[in-house]
This record gives sequence, C-alpha cells and structure tokens, in this order.
Amino acid sequence: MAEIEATRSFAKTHESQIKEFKYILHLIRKSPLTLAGLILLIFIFLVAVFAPWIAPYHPTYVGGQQYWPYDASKMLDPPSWQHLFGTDDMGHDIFSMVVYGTREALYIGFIVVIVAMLIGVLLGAYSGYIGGWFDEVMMRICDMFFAFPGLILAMAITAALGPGLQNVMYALMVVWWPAYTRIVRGQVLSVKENQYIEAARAVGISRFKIIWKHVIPNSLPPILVQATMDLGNVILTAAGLAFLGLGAAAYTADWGVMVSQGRSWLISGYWWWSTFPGLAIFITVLAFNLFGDGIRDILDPRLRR
Amino acid sequence: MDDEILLKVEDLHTYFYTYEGVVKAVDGVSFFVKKGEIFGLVGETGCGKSVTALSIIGLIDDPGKIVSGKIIFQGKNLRELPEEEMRKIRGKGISMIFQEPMTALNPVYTIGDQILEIILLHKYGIENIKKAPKELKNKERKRVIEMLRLVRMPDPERAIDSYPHELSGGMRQRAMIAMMLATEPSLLIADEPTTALDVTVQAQILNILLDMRDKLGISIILITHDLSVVADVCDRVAVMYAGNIVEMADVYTIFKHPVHPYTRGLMQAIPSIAEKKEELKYIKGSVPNLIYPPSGCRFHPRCEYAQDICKKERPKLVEIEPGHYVACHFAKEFFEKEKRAEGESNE
Amino acid sequence: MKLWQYIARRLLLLLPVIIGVTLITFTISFVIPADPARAWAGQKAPPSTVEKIREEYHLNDPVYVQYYYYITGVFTGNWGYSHSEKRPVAQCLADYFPATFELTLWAMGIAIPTGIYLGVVSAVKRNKIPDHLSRIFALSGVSMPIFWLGLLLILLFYTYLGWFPASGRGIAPAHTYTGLYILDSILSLDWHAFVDDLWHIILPSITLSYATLAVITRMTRSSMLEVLRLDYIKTAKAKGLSDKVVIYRHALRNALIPTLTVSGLAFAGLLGGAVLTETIFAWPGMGRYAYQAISTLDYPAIMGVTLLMAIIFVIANLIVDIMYAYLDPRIKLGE
Repeated sequence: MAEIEATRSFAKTHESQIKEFKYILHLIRKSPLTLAGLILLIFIFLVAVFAPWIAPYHPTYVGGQQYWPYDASKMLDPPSWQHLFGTDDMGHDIFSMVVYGTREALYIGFIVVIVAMLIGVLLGAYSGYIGGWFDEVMMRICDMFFAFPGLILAMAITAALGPGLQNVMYALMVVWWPAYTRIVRGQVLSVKENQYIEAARAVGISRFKIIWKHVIPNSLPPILVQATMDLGNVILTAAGLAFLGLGAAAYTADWGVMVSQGRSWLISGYWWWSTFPGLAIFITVLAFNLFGDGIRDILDPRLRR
Repeated sequence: MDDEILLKVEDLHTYFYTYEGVVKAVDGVSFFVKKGEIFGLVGETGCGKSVTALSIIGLIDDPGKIVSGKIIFQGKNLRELPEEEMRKIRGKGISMIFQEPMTALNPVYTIGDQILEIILLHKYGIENIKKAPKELKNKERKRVIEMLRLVRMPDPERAIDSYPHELSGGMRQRAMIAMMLATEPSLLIADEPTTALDVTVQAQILNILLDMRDKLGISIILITHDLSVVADVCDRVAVMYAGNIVEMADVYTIFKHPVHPYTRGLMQAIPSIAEKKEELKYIKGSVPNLIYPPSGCRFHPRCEYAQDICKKERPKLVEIEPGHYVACHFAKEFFEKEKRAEGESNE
Repeated sequence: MKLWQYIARRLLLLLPVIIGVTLITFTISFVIPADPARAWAGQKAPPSTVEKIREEYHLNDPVYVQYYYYITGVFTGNWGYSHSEKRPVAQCLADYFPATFELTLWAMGIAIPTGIYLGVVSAVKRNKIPDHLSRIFALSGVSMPIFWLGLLLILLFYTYLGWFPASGRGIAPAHTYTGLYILDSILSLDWHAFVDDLWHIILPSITLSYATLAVITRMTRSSMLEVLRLDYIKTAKAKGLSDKVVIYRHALRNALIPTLTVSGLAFAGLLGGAVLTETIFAWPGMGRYAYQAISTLDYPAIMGVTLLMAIIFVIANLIVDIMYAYLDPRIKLGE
C-alpha cells in the first residue's frame, strides 16, 4: 500500500520529468539515425565484453613466445570461412584481432574522455564560479591549446614522450581537457545567474557545496553530449597516431596499428589486412557520432518542433 | 453590396499535426473584409488570429495544414491557385507585416535593398536585385525614398542605406510598412504591428496605418489583443475565441452592444478611469487546450449562462441585426435583453 | 574603424598567441628524453664535442634563458637542425610548405562549396530522404579514419582500376613561380606537367576534403535550420519571393556566418589530416616530413612542423574573423 502511495507521489512530483523523458524516448524512436547509433553502440559494447567468446583464435601470441596460430602456410590468406577477415603476414586471424581491438579502442576512448572531462569539470567549474584572475589565466591557457590542430599537438607530445599506448593516451588527455574546461565554464557562467543559485548563496551555503550540488549537475547534459561525440573523436585520433607509428607495437590487436601494418600490402592487392580494422574504426566512431548527434538535436530546444 | 467585398474567408480550418495531437488552431472561421476598411481581428494569445492571417497569405509551415475552407480574394479562391500564382499575390495583392520589427527585417541587407527587392520583383519580375540594371535601380531608389517619406521615416536619404540594427524599433516598423506597401497592395495584414513598441511609438505607427489607408485606399486586417487599438483605428471587428469567431460587427456596436458573453467579458475587463471599481473584472477559467477543445460551444466551460445545448451543439455565426454576427445559442435573447436595458436606461 | 586598421590590430594581437604557442612547443621539447646535443653531434662523437655543442646551444643555461634563445630563434628563423635531412628545419619547411598549401587549398576548394550545398539541401528537406542521405554522408565523413579512406581510394582507383596515380605530386613544371605545381604548370604553359599534376592531386585532395566537407555540411544544416525559423524568412516569403531566392539570398547569407567560424576550426582538422594524407600518398609536404621525422626521431623537425602548423591555423582563424566582419554588418570592426 505504502509502496503504491510512494510510486504515485513519485509520479506526481516528477510528472514533468517523466513526461519529458517519454517525449525524448519518442523522439529517439522517431529518429532512425539516433536509434541506429544506439543499436550499433550496444552491439560494439557486447563485442568488447564477449571478445574471448566471439574471437575464434587468440589475437596475438600465447605464453609470450609463440605466435598462434602461427603457420607459414596461413600467411596473408584472403577471407574465408576459416578466417573471416583473412590473415596477416604472420598468419594471425584478423577477425580475432579486430574483435579484441574493440576492447582497446573503447578503453582508450573512455579513459581519455573521462579524465579530460574530470579535469575540465573541476577547472571549468572553479574558473567560471570564481572568475577574476584565475579565470583569466585559465582561459588564456586554454586558448594556447586551441591554437594547435588537435592531431598535430597530440603527435608532437607523443613523439616527445616516445611511442606507446600509454603515451598516446596522455597526449590525448592533454589535448582534450581545455575543450571541457571551456564548455563547463560557459555552462557555469549561465547557470550562476539563476535565481536558485542566488538563493543558495543568500542562505549561506558554502561555495564548494554550491558548485558541487547545484552548478555541476545543471551543466551536465551538454557535457555528456559532447563526451559522447568525443569518444568517437578520441578513438579516431588515437587510430591516426597509431597509424603514424606512435601507438602500440606491431602485431598488437589495435585497429590503427593493423591498418598501418597492412598498408604496404594493400597496394599489391592484399586488401583485407587494412580494410577490416579500418572498417571497425569507422563503424565505432560512426556509432558514437550518430548517437551523440541525435541526442544533441533532441536536447536542443531550438531545433525541436 | 457584394462588389465592395475584397476578401472573404469561408469556413477555414487550419490544423497543426504535432506529437501531442492535432491542434485545431483555426476551426471553422468565416469573415469578410470590405474595400478600404480597417478590419480588426481580436482575441487572446493563441486563439488563432495569426494562424488565420498566415492561412490567408498561404504561409502555413509544417506541421500545419489548411484542411478545408475557401479564401476568396478579388474573386479568386487562393487555395486553388498554384504556388506560382500565389507568389504573385503575396507582396503585390496581399502584404503582411509582423509583430517583431527587430527580427522581421533581414539583418545583412540595407533597408533600401530590402524595399527595392519587392518593387523590382513585382514591377519588373526581377528576383535578384544584383542582376537589375543600374538605371532601373536608381530610378526606383527615388520611389523607395518616397515610400520612406510617406511612412514619416526621419531622414529617409540616410535610412535607405542603413542596416536594420542601426534603426530603432519604431523606425524598423516604419521601414517594414514602407516595404510592404511599396507595391501598393489591396490588402495589408498587420499582425500585432505595435505590440513590441513603446506606447508613444504605437500611436505613431497606428496613425501611419490610418494615413496609408486614406492615401492608398488599401484595406487592412489589423490583428491585435489590445482593445484600445481596435477602438482607435478599426472600422469593423471580429472577436476570436479558441479558433472560432464568436462575434463580428462594426466597432461601435462591438463596444456599445456586445452580445456574446465572451465579448461582454472582454469589454468589462477593460479598466476605465470613469468608474473606479474595487477589483478589475476578468473572465474566469483559462483558454482551452486546442487539441481536445470543449465540445459544442468552445466557450461553455467559462460561460456563466451555459446550458445543456451549449455542450452539445456548436453555435453558428448568425446575423442578428444588419452587419452584426454572433455565434451563440442565446444570441437573440441576449440581444433583446441588451436592447431592453438600453431602452430602460434611456427613459 | 577601417578594415586595414582592424587587420593591423588583429595582427598585433597575434603576437601573444604565437608566444603562447611557443610556450607549449618549448615545454614539449623539454620533455623529450633524447639528448639534443648528442643527437646533433652524432652517436660516435667524443664527449668533449657534445659538451661544446651543449655550450654553443645554451643547453646548460637555466630554463628561462633557454626559452629566450628559443623564442628569438623562432622569430629570426632559426628553428633548429633537422638531422634526418641534414639541413636547417626552416629550410626544409620552406621547401615542403607549398606542397601542403596546394593540397589543403584544393581540399578546401572541394569541401566548402559542396558542404554548403549539401547542408542547405539537408535543411530545406529536413527529415526527408535527401536530408537523411546527406546526414549519413556527413556523419560518415566525420567518422571516417582519413588514412583508411585514402587507402580504399588507392585500392580502388590505383590498384584495381589504374585511373589515378597513388603517390607523389607528379612532374615538376618547367618553371617555378609559386611552388604550387598546378598553378606553376599553367603559368609556364607546361601542359604535360599540368595534366600529370592534376591527376596526382585528385585522390589526395578528395581524401583530405571529406572530413572538412562533412563538418561544413553539418554546420550549414544546423544554422540553416535555425535561420529558416526566423521572422525575416517569413517576411521574405510574404514579399512573394520564390523559395530559391528566400533560401539562397535571405537565409543562406545569414546561415553562412556561423558556418564560416566552423570552417576556420575545420581547418585544424585539415592540417591534421594533411599529415595522414601526405603519408599515404607520399605527398612531399610538411606532413610527410613530420612522419619521416617521427620515424627517425628528428625532434627539431617535429617541433618545427608543429609550430608552423599552429601558426598557420592561427592565421587561418584571423582570416575567418576578417571575413566574418565583412559578412555581418552588425559587427562593428574592433568591438
């Protein structure tokens, strides 16, 4: 009885939110591209989680010594039922490597975006709320970073740190944090002027508490949309760096590395080594963009009708 | 008498097909506008005035649609005209000005260019003013200045080369009027032309509209929610409520002998200095949802005289005395009562 | 304020930005694990030589003194020594710059008109088939790894069809005027070179343009959608103008303003993409130079390319700002 009562009162007090949520669901359903993005994303996540069960072979070597299934007769085999995406010049199963590569791509994407976002939220919220010289200095620093094309800056940083997956990720974090700082700061500035913040301040709630409890939650939606699209961008840029030889070592189950390694073979007609990992990058980034783009359109009241 | 009629709207239905449902924004509207008159269309926000206007000029955008009805302008049913013919009427036969002079002018072109554009289009059939011959532009430039002078634009020689953001709200609205009248249309639809302006500027703009009617002999449909504007300039008035016209008559009758309970409510809601009341009167209840409008007479939930029939049947707009139309089941009774009351007060 | 005054002021404001940029590149080169003196001297040089170089290049001085020498070097054209090319970095960059410039110019030339056109179509036919197609096309563009697209084009048009060459810029024109092969071949009336160079630039410029094209399409679409709802569009329609005039004269002119800003930002993607595209097509520009520098650990070269690309990007944005002021009369120059 109490439960029903609670549900009912929840439904009542959150009526507008529920209505809004239902409306958003309706819009997602009506937007085939957003839906396609969502379905693709779910598919990609499932592949990453169940990689060991999906991949028919181990992606690289076993026990640190032996390539498996290493087989000279299997070198650069075209796609077949046995090797769906063919094999590379060591006889690795490309399909298995692509499947495992999903894990790495998502790992890079999420870690970089989450770290960049955390730095951005902290610095941006503080900067926007405090204002003054701190804000001024912060924004000038961001401007300095914005003066670089992202890939170029990441390239220079990774080159300086030395090639490798870790360093690629550090470089991408350095490149990405200013964007979040600026978005969050802008959001904070617009939220700050709202009545309820004024009220909270008047009641004497501490600065930290106001930022944490009121300012940040209210600036979250646009940041999350940005993050969704950035997941794709980070994966894409990381793949670019890997292609330039700055990422993981050769024969790693990394899409960018695979495209890079297969490149010299592709011109002579061994197309599969580069093509399938490239396709995987494309589909993954596309999924994030489809979904992020759709959500942004839906959340943007100006584009609603 | 019929030859005097410039525009006749018959049983117009314009619906909007939205996610929540079909919004019946205009649901069976009929009225006519005579040559040379200023016709007021009054009602609360959201009652369908603007939609009626946009329907006439054929600019209803998705998800809106004119479902049925006739719009007869100079003997032609505009709904049957192909889009190409309709374009020739827009700006030449029927012009329209909008509420927000701040946003109704294109910010990246000068006032002069925007006025020149409509002249070149309808006089010479030139759509791209960049392609117009120089002599023609110079010749028509004089016409533009003349139009700006006609709407009493201060310093028209300077204003012609100004961008909209360099002018004040009142000046922009003048520019807008000059633009829409440059082709001497027979009908001007003015959708809340003064609402966004200061009171003093409002009066100037209204005077210009009156002036234009007298000088150019045009008809004007003036859409407004402001009864004082109606009293100032209109010849005849139609009162709209929730997508219907509830009463239509000349302005004197509407103000002196309103019959429909809604119109009477509106008149009582006008604050007056002569009789200071304890409390301002207002109409109880709120404007109905046009997706699920009330059955029968749409006003019945708010009407203190409502009977069973009001819930069941939609009242038709009937002529109760010459030129006075009312859509109410009890129009005759209210009318008689009003007459009697007046008779008594006269004695 | 006059336009030239505005430009002069903006150029002056460029200075602190460029100093900011050098601060970052300087910091990065400080992180580099390799010993630059050792790199210059060569592996077999005796320690005394290394120490001499160390002194000569102020590597023993405090950080801020090093930065002083660094920034004076940047402004006087002393950008370090590229050991992979065995000549100064500035010289290499001067040689490679025209190739990159030509490639990005062509890519922009493809991306801007096509992107604007697709964006307009998409907005006007919102939620109809052309809109869906153009959105998929545009989203694919921003999602496609540029190097993968280049490889697929090579596979199709070089390996299988044999229509276009897959590497290099083609025959050098008879005379060099600008360093842009196609322009030079026209200027020197060298038709043989002209055809060859044109054939060479087609695949790389298409590869490079796609992502930018996509960004411009999306931005044009969304700003058109916003503009099309505005009152002055209704005014334009009420004037009796045809849809074509309403869309292209009244809506697009306004929608272009935000699109322009994005084109400036998209230029960053273009420069980044140039590195990948040049690598794939062996296009002898700054990007391929950077790639080569990475594989030979030629740090001064990497830093040089990074710095120059940042400066180009900053200048591109300056040009965008000036065009912005030109397109939008509401913007008073200098405010």
